[in-house]
Amino acid sequence: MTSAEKEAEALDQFIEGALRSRLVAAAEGPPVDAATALVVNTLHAAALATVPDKEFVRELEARLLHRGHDATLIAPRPDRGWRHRLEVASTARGWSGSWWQRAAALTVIVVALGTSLFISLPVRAQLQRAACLIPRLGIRACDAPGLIAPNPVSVSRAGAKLTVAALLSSSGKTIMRLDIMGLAAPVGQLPAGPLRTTLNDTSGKEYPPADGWAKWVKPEDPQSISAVAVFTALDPSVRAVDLHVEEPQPVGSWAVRVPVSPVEATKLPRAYEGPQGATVEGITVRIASIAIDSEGTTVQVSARSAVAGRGIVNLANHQPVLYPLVLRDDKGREYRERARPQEALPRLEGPFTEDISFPPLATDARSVSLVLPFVTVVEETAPAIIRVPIAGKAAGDHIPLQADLRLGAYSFRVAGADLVEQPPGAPASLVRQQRGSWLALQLDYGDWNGGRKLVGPGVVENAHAIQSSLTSRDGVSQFTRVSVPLSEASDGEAVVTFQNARIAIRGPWKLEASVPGGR
Amino acid sequence: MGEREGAPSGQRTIRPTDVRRFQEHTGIKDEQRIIADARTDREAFAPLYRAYVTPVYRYFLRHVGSAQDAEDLTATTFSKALDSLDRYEERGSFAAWLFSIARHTLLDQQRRRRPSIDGAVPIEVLPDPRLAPEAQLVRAERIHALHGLIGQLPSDQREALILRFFAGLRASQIAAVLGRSEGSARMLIHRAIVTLRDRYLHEEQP
Repeated sequence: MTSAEKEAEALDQFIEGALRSRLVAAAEGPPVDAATALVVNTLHAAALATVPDKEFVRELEARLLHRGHDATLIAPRPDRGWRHRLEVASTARGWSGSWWQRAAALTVIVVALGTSLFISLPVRAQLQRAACLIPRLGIRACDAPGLIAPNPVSVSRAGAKLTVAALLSSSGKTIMRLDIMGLAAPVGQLPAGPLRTTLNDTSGKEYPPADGWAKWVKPEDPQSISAVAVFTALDPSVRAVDLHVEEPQPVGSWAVRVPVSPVEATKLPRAYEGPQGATVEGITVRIASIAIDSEGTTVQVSARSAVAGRGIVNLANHQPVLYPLVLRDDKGREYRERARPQEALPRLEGPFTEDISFPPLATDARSVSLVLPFVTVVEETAPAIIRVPIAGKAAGDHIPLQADLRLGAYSFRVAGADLVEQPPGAPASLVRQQRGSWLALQLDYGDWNGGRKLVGPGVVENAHAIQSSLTSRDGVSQFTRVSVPLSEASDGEAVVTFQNARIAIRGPWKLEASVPGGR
Repeated sequence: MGEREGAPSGQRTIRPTDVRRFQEHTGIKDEQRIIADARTDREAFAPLYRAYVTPVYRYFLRHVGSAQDAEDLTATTFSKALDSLDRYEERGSFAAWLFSIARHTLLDQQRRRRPSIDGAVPIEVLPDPRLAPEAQLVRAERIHALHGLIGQLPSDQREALILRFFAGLRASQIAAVLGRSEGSARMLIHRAIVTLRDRYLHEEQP
């Protein structure tokens, strides 16, 4: 057997272990490198998430095996009226309950509900006078004199590592992104307030904290913590800063020195400010900035909502790889959206802003246009609660259940429930944390109705809840499954609480911006 | 049940390991008895139908991207399989035979009309513990790119990959479906995964 054949056999053993294991992340057989394992596990999980419609399965069996064979049994398929065809997005129809929707695409996004994500109140941003495309931060104000950390900086201690992934000092503030990984124990519930940090320059001057902080713990990696720390702007003459973290265990104390350089010395791509935008349904969207270099075109899109009690959560589509936005230039060329920057920091002040990445613009392009098909918002609502009896049930049981709930002006249906050993797509580490079975609810939010489409609840109040979504051809992802661990149930009943409504609002918003020549 | 390579046509050589693997894979014992009974009583086919309807559906859905088309193709496949039970010979695995029918059904459809692949196929995304919550979305999007890369594989590698993961066939069964040796089937899968891994890593670079 050649070495290639041996590798192929070893990989096949690994695949066999992955396919036969209940936990997607676990695999038997010889180890493979992490990237290969990820590919294998992803493929396996993708297959597991694909299930045929249960009624189709039952009907096909009945027609094939119990009623005599009919060669035309499925075509033409009767339209049962209550079935949702997600691929038909053009006609708004009244919805009704169905326990599995046909998927045009399935995305599992593990939403760490109940984990500690604290965000301070946003502060209105100053108008951008100058903006640059900054690595790991996206398009940001870079008024001179501004300072950035040209590279991430890390320190390690006892198996743990702190990384300052990004630092920018401009427009009166210093923003830092921190990641602390490999802690000796789970972080647990985070106390309120920012990560306890202090920032000094090498002359000893201390910079007080400012608004816009955030911190969070990854649900699948509880022995890590990430944070955005914000301070006042650095003195322009500073060339290094010292960051200290003082947190109780297991985070502990850290000290790291971060070199900084003037923004103008790093030759960052400048961003050109866009014009006024378009307003639909009280939401004004504009191209705030465009930055172009040899690597790509970054279009910063920002939006404000004039409606009280409504927050914008997504400006573009939910699936840029499957349903990319298309940027067009004045010569008719099209540039398809690329996956977004992996480590771009969220913006926690000013209008809601997203950076969208496209290939580099042609040098003779002088203007661009972009159409956003919908914007996703969250509206505040009262809670909606469902109680599911689970006494006497075990993993593998289906609970026939239909319940109509409301989130504000929006109705949705709980169309069934199953007890499962593992929610699809759940990371093994999270499943291991939650012993026992899970209650998986199937939810039906309906289709477009009056230019709005319910995407899901803004919040599921249950700790450790996992939501998974289905994406239809219109690019809207609806959170059609919610799973909660049964360890939280009591008295033979599981209670799931939804609050706030996440809604896609149909536009379109047609945006345009000029692009200077001589790039 | 397996056939020893090189055995003359019509001769049956059943490898005990293959029988055990089939039972472990489907939880069904005595596949041959089920098929024999189903030739006279279709209802007896139910255990095999229930064991394979989901893998067959998954196989089609990954290819055609439309749930309705996948359902139609699944129904056609099982209909053909039931019609052909009398002609099923007890050599090679039932799974390989069934997916051979499925594959031909798919090719027939593709010859009749343009594939309806639109990229909208179910995709599962595993979170990356190195990333922050807001970057999980980005990660999910990047892993969708991995799924899209499957469409760029050479057709034989793509088919082998889909049969392995979505249909759940083993290398020996894939070999029977594709008319190759078991080692060749493993190599196709190996190459496919290495290609996906390398292209995926390339996409991961900032």
